Amino acid sequence: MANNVDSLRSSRLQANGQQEAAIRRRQNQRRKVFGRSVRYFWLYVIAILLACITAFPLVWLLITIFKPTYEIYQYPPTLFAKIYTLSNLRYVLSGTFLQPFFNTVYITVVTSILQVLVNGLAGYALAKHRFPGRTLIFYLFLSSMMIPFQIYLIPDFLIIKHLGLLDTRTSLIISWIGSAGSVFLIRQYMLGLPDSTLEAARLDGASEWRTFFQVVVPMATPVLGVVAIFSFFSQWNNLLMPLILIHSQSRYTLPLFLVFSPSSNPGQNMAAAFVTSIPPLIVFLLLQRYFSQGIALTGTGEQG
Amino acid sequence: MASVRLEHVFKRFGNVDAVSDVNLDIADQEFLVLLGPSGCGKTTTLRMVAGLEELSDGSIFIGDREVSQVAPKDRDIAMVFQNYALYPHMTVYENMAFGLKLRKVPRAEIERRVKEAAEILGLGSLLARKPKELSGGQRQRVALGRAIVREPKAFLMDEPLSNLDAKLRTQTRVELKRLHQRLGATILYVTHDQTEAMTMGTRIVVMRDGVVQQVATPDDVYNRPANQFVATFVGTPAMNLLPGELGQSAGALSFHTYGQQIVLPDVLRAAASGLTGRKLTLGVRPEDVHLSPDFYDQHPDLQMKATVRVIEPMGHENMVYLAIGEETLVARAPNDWHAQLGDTVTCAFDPTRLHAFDPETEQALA
Repeated sequence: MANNVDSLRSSRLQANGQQEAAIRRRQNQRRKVFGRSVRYFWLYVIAILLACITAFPLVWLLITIFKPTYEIYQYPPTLFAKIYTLSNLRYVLSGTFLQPFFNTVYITVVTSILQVLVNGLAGYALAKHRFPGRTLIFYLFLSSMMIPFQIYLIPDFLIIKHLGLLDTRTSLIISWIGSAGSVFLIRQYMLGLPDSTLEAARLDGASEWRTFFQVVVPMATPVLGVVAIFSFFSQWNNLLMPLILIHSQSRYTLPLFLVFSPSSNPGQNMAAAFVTSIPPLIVFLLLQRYFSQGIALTGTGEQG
Repeated sequence: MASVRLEHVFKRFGNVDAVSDVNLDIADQEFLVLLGPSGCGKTTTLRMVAGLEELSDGSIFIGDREVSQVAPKDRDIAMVFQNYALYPHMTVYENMAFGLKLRKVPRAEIERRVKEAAEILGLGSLLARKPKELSGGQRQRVALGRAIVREPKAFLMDEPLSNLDAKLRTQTRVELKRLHQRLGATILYVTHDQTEAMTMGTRIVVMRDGVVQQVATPDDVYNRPANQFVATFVGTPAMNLLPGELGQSAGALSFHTYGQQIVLPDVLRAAASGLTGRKLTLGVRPEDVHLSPDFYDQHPDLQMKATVRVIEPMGHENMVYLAIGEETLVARAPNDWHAQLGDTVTCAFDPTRLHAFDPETEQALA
């Protein structure tokens, strides 16, 4: 009898113990969830605050575009306008802005294509062909990456001048095609392509050019996409080279135009800056997969 | 199809002879296997035939034409690579048709050849797929198909089965052999797998350190190895080699090792006359070491005592590792043969299946 009572008591105690453990577990879980929520709450607050700080100039820019001039100059300034107008945008899209816009599109697109082609071929040769001096050339490329870009400015200017290309759009293109960083990136990527696939193409009867264009390029699309994107962004935002090589207003690129041809109307300037930022935005949205791949490949996202 | 001939072919990388004085005559429709361990120069030899490596010296002929200086694409050969080397951005059809398009074969003819090859290889339903959507075995068949549609003078295959799992490898081995018979193709095939070499090759070329050791039929390579390297490289487990000395026993020429002796059979007695010294290495395959009293009682002159070290039950048979002095001797015994580890047992060698090698030159004594 006593044994039965003992066992009943012990089983009750055991059941109570289990219940308490379950409650404790639940409480711990709740505490953890609560702690995590609080942590996330503050993270969100900080993130939203940072987003507001970053977005404010853009919002200001966007609103200013649609404000009439007198409202822009109004003191104290107001964030929102009483009247909205499209006149600033209309002015930009029909005025002197169009020439530098097309100049920039032309220069950027041609540079990107040529940069992919020229650096692609160089990277391919360094990765997949054996020729005397290959290692030396590669190290020269590498060492050139360690010299600041500004050091090349005067030699670049002199070369372009001797070629008789000063003040031409071609000068901006050829000064921007060769990129040691791109060659390095492409070479490293192409080292990973299997030699046997290229040999199979040669045995199939493909010439060197055909092997490059029909076999290597499709296999190296990710890295070539990265190079194209970085080339596009760097040339689109390029101010220094046009500043040195371009004099005529008809050949201005957008960054140069934004610096030197400001309208007296800040609304029109804001509209020009806004339209300038649209193509890179579109390119980014279309190719953001390659962009993030590029950052992963280069480690920094810097390219030049 | 055509014959392939290599005459005094050398390949040097700096001071190293990767391939040294290779002479081969591959007959039309022959399936010749280059066999050897890693780094023996077999793939380099194949790549020289393909034109992917330049010759340091010598000549290569495909048919009657010397191709030593001819570009790979103009040699009219097709190659199957170890990793298949398919074009990843092309479909199976495009992979197979690529070479034909480059050779400006009419579209209808391309379609006919690709469909025919696809049918032979069972790829009919996969023509629209990309290589990444295929299994290893299917990729391997596409690589074969790409070679077949070219209708080349010779096929070169560089370890095409080594990336497949064991079951698929066995299956594909049979398919390849059937394909060879069906196409009547001249095939030069590189492998380090002796089973592939033995089962598929019309003849086998065994290579070591860039030097050809033996060119012979699978039967000859196994039963009449040219030297100790071939004897131990071909066959699993490898041939047993017992070092010893020649002596006299009851008036007959005998072999002495670790205090034991056997009388040399007639066939080896004649061969031993070619020895440079008094030392001899005796070779015997595991299946020719007999542990049953029925056998060794009949051959009292060929008996030796050995200690049982390890017994590996293989199911259908036992692999018995015996010690004679410092040497280990492997014997295949029936699965009902039993002994305790450490037991001393009697073994006897099949007199018709013994091999003798000169320890100095390592060459077989004829």
